[in-house]
Amino acid sequence: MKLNQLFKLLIDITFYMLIPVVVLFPGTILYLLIFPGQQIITHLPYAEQGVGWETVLILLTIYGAYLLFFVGFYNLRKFTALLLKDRLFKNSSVQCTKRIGQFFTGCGSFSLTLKLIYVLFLSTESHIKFGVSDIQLYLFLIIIGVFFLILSRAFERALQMEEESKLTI
Amino acid sequence: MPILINLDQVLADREMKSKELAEIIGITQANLSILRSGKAKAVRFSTLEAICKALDCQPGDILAYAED
Repeated sequence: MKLNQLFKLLIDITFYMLIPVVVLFPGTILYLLIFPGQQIITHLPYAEQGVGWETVLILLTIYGAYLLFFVGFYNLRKFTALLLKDRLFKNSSVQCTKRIGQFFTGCGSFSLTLKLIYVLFLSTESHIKFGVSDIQLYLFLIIIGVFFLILSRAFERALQMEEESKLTI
Repeated sequence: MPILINLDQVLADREMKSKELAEIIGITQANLSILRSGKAKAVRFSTLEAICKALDCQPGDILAYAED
């Protein structure tokens, strides 16, 4: 199997794994509103004494961040399709990488801000986590986003150069 | 663009068709059309040399500079 095909396969598998969460998340929030005394969601601030507006607000912000990630990933999937068709130096590819960068950077920044607010102001316990922490993952997502923005500029430049080359007689 | 291409005029003076010139200098008619219309971003020295040789002219006869 070629590396491009493997990349597309991995992206596809992950993308289809993301869809149920996007679809079921609003339903879960609705369920929490209807049955506030449930126990299916844990480790949420303010949820110890039952689900209130704070919990719903937190869930909605998490869902917002997840949607940003999902849209970024959707564009990544589109980009891999272009990669397989060998249509890298096209306008669609430039737009795709730009959107991936914007959404991943947005999601990373938003999630990192939420996490920092939680750690600094809301969390009552302090602990050291060994291994990859959430903050490191969010930073990595921002790095990936910025990388795609740089990649988008590189593709844009390559597109211009290709056009110039075509118009050199 | 301030660089003007006077290829049509030189071709008319020599009573040569663009198709003929394209065949002599070894480029496609589409590319010659891009050059004649002024849409070209750059001209290779080799192309310019071939055009000058085919039309027995100087680069200055084909290219001109005019301020915008």
